[in-house]
Amino acid sequence: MAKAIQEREIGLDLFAFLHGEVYSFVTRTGTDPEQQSTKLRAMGIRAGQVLQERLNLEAPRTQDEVDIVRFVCRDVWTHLYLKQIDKLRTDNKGAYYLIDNEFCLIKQVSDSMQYLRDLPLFLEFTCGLIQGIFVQFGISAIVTPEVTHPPMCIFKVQIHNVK
Amino acid sequence: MNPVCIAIISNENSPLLMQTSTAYKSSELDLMFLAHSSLDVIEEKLTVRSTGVDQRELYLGQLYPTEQYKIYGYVTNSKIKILVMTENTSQNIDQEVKTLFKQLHRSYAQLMYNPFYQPGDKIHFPSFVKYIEDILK
Amino acid sequence: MSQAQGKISKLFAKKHKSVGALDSPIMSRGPLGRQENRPKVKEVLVTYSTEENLFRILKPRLEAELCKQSFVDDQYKDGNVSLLQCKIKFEKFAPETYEKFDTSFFNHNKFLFGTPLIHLFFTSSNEISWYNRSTKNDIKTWLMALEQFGYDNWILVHVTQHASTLRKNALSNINNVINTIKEDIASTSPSSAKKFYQLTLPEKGDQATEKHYDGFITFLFTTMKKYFISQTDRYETLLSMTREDQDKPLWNFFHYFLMQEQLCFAYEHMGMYQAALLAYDEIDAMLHYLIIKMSMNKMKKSRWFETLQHCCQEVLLDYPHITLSLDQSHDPSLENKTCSLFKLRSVIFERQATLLFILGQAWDVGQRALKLLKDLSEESSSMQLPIPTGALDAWSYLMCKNVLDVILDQLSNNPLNPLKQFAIELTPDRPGPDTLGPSQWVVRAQLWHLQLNKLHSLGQISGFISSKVGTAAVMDDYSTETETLKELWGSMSSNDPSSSALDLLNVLSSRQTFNRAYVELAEQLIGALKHAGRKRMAMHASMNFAKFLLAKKDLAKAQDVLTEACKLYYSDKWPVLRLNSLSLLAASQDSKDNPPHEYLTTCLLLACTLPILNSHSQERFFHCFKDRIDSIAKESQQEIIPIQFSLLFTVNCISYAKSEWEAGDVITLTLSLTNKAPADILIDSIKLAYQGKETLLSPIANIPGYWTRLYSYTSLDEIPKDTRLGERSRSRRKISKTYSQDSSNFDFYFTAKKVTLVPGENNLVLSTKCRIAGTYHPDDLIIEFSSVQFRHSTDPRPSGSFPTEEIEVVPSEAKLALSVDCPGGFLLAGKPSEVTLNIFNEGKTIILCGSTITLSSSQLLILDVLSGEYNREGECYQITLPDIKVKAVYQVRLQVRCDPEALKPENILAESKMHSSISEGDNTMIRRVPIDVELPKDSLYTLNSSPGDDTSCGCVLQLTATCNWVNKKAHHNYGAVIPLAFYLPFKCKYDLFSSGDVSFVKLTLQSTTPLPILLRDMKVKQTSVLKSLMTCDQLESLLHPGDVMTLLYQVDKEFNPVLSQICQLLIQYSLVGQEETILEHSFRFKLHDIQSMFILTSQIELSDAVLKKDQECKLSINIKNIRDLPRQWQAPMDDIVVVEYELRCENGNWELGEEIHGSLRLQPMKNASEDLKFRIRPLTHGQLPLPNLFLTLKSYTWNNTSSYITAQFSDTSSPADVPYTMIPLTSVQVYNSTASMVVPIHSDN
Repeated sequence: MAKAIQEREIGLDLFAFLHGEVYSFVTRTGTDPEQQSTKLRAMGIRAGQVLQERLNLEAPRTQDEVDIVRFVCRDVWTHLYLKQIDKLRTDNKGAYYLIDNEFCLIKQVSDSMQYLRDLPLFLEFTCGLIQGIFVQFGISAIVTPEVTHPPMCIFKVQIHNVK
Repeated sequence: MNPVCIAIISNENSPLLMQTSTAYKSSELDLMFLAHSSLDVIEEKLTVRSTGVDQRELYLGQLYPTEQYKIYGYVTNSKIKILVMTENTSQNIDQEVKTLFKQLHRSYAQLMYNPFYQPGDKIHFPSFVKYIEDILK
Repeated sequence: MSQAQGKISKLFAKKHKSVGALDSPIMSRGPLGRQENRPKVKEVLVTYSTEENLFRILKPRLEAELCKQSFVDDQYKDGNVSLLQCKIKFEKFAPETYEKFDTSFFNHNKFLFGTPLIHLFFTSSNEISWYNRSTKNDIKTWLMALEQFGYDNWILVHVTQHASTLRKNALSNINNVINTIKEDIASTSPSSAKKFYQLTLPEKGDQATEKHYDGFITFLFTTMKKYFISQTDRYETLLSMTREDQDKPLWNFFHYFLMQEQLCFAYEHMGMYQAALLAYDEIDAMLHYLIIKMSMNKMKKSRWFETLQHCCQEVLLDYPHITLSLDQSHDPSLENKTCSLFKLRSVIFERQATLLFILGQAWDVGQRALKLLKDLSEESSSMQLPIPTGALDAWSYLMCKNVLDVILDQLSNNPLNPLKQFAIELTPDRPGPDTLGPSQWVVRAQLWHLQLNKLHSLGQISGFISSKVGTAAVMDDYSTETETLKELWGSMSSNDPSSSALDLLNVLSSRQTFNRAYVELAEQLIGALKHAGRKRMAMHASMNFAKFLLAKKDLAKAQDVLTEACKLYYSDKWPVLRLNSLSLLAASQDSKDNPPHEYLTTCLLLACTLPILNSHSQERFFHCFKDRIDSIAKESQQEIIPIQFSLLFTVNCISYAKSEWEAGDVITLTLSLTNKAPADILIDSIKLAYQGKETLLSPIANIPGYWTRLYSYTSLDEIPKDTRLGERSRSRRKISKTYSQDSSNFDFYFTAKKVTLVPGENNLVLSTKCRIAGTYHPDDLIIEFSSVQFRHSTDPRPSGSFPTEEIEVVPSEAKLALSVDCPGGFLLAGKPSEVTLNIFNEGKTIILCGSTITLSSSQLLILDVLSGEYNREGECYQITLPDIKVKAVYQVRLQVRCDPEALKPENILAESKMHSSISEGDNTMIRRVPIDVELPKDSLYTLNSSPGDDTSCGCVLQLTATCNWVNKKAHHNYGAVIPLAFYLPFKCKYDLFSSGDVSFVKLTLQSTTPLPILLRDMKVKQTSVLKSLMTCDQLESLLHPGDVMTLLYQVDKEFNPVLSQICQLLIQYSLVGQEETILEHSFRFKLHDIQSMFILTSQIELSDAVLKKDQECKLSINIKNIRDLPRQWQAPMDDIVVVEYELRCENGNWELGEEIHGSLRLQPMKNASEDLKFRIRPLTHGQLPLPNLFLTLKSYTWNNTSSYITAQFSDTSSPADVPYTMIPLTSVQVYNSTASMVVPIHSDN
């Protein structure tokens, strides 16, 4: 059991590493930051779609968007980052705030403010991932990262229209 | 249970894949019509909170009776609809169908991993088609 | 009478009323005359044993209240239990009348109601002594009897008066009694303590006791119910026991059925309909199970099974009628256990239906009906029932119809439907028909769907519908089949004329009826499905319907259905289905009276949809398309069918050779379009039209005058004859639209004819000229072949589908123009007139501020610049231009003058020598202009006042403009030669006449201008010489173009004939329209030789009276000096004037003899005369003028003095040596007196 967990942690580390590489690759190749972010986000969305399908094999039918958000907070997060979202807030106007106190992908980033400028771009993939999951659920949502004190990290999910 | 036809239908109700067992190739068109019309029932079942059937269940059970076939439906959380049509037998085959659906869903999820597959496209990967055909044999 | 009974009797009443009423569907159904339709009222036995008088008090109230009892019992089969349908029958307790309780009596249906539901014992003994004495024993014996028969459903009641009516001590006694009774009972059996009840009779208006009493009633009821339920339980155990040995050979299903039904009835009576329904469902399921099992030989077939199998010949006799009835009688066949499967089934179904209706679940009936039919077909097929073909179909058809009728009848608030009324009374708050929403429509749809299927197969059997769609039905087998059906139903329909079977019969009786029924049913079905919100199913149904319609050639309707279908399948992205429906649609549209473009469109849709269709069928459809359009082209006189462009073609892009063209150049572009058709297309024409963005009417279009394109000098000689801008704008090309509502025309278009488009991408290179500058965008693309036209602009143009690359056609060069301001727009020679120089910037050449135009005029053109800033260098004006915006005009006012005065007089003379008429002097002088100004020849020409008259009356001078901006291509400046036309006001002529010694001058003016001229005054300067003979001098007269005016003057006698005098006619005139400005025109002419010197007199000397033709005669001419001849005429030496003479006859009337000329020596003095004689002969007859004699003076050139000298020194010198010149004497100098004389000549016979 402990072994399994350990393996998964290794897997997570690899994932984080790969993610970082992808980020640096994209930022190196593309010059225009706009296009860079869209590229990353696109990757994320695709991944999200796959993940949604994968994780929903056994899951029950989702009734409403809250289910989906919960799904993201619990299943997706645990599946990817071996932990759940720490806090979930919502204004009841279709916006959800997923708060991860120590988001593992930016764990290494010291909370000194030097990277704050780059972080949103760095988190594009993850945002895309969340977005992709929503897309696959048939809900169009816009996900934006808010990082003030890394590695604490907030994903804002703005849901547009519930189909 | 001997399935006659398996259809995977996208969330916009367009067919992604539709395979008919060789024995029924002749009546493929009718089957297609049936598949298409059964979308109505699926939509009903998804929207109308009908009592009795478990709403949390992805498996929708038999959709509607026809004289030759039984049509079973399954809708994933991504609104992908899977249809299985079997010959019209008196015995209850719900369980088998259910397991078949799970199997299909799983393989669809696997398909999503294929980097060359864009969600919402028609499925014509020989391996996948072959896999479906084997089920229909 | 109790309330419950009241209700029931109401039902009766209704019932009886409704028996007569035929309009109640339930009445009219039921072929076996089952008119009973109401819950039967069962008698429930209740025994009592007590002293009569006491019971008499109790009975009525008990009866009433017990029947009212009813309450939901949850723990037992969730049915609510009531005695509503029961009537309490009280009997005195008589144990011997009841059988002993054992299983045997379950066999007949008295198992519940044959035995009393409860046994009562009332006592009112209030004295313990009295109780012990008698009552005690009574109770004991009673209990004994009960026990002996095994009944434990008894209650012992102790009745007491109301407390108020009792004496003080009585109460305590009563309590004693009660206690002792309790003890006694308890002693017998512990449980029975509960079965004692102490009842105090209620007083009027005493709530407490009333409640107490009600409590008693419920107590009774519950005990009864408990007993009832225990009974049913027993019964069920029994049933299950019998069910156990179902595979025993003797076991009979009918038997079992009847048994279970008893139970159901029992439930019904107790109002436990749910329970009853469940029981029936059990039977239903069991039957199905058994049949399948047996027919699949999983189980040995038993007798009842065979009976079911065999007795189903007259299957259609027991076709379904759901007769909603709580009546429990059976028709005999069931009772004696020989009935067909169908019968059995329908019986069971009826029961279920009835119960469902009572429970208010009307639509479930429909569901169950479907299930039933499904099972039934399954069963009958597995049992291989020997039933005629189509019988089962008919059966199910009727079933559906029937069921739906019944349901609707139930839901309709039909007062004549007692069952409904009853059900409502049972459960007042049942859902109405519409509260179910779409689900009910689903049920309807399903029923109709099944019905339709059945009808379809029936139709196939009877040959109305052939199994293959489209081909005509086969008629012969129709007759046979319906015959069998007929005879099958003949019997039954006879005894029930209004049966729905009969309807089915005449539906199948003829094709028309069948079709009608089919259509009606199909439409119902589709409608219902749509109601239910199942649009796709509806579409499926309507596809089948469409097939049917196609088969029966109802094309119009089929089309509507199919087009709808196409839409849906398209939006749902099911291409295969869409194509399927499309091909059907094509079939439906393929008819003459259908607008052809629909068919064509469909064909194209099919032909051009890749790649679902295989290429073969694609080509097939494309050929359909082609054949059709060809046939159309043949038959109809060339009406063009418009078809959506995008069906067959897509425009990929338009690429231009370059981005910018100069006006007038040939524009070349490459149009790449895709041909989606699977085959080559030979198109007749393709037109790509361009539309300009803004209006192209440039401001100069309305400025009069000749517009001259600025050319570089090298190309000066190719100045266009007419470059009027108006012409240009008129020379726009237009597309004549073969088919279009809007008649907008295009600025220009590209076109190609007879092009073959291969499948896939094609690149066409098109080219055309554009004459007007502007920005153009492709506006319209038309492809035509055979009889169809593909117009792009008729599509609702989606963005990007049609390329919008624009062409920029830039103007060629800036333009110059002179516009003449005077009226009539012509210039008068000699009159200074104002003109405007327009400089128009077309936009290509940027005319910067400060750029200049240099104007130089030809020599005789006097030029002045009136406006604008300029500086003059000799003859040239350099005009500095401001910044001229694009499409803007800059105007400079000029004054031009072509001045005759500027010419020297000798020019005139020289000219006059040239042309023997002075009067043309003006012209000739102007005619000389080009000689000394270098100008290309062709640029100068004279204007002719009137055709045929070659004498010119005006001229064209030229203004040469030079610009200082440079043509980048050919590196030289621009310039232009602007022609200016000047007119002379008049053409003048001068003639001299003399009569002997008097001479006259005749002057003729002819106006040549395009405008009339107002003559103010005409004067001859030399009035001393010439005297006007007319008084027209002061007269103001209007001279119209071409008019001629003549003036006559007499030459003064004193005028010295030798001198010659130049005279001048001054004409003051003004142009009509501007009378205030008086213009002058001077006409010079020369007077000379105005005196007559000689006078000729000629006469014929006749030999006889008359002169005949060809008769020679003598002509004698006398020459006489009128006055002394001038000195210088005389020959030197001798003073004789030598005159050479010559006789001429222009008209050739006379033959002249020899020596017709010679020289004549004349005396210079006055009146000297000479005679000359000639021999002449007239060649014709008539009045002939005489030949004329011409004189030439031989004048010796010498001056007097010197001549004399020479004469003195050289006398010998002959006169011949003296040089001389011959001067011909004019007609004025030689006055022929007989010029007008004629001689009569007679013909020679």
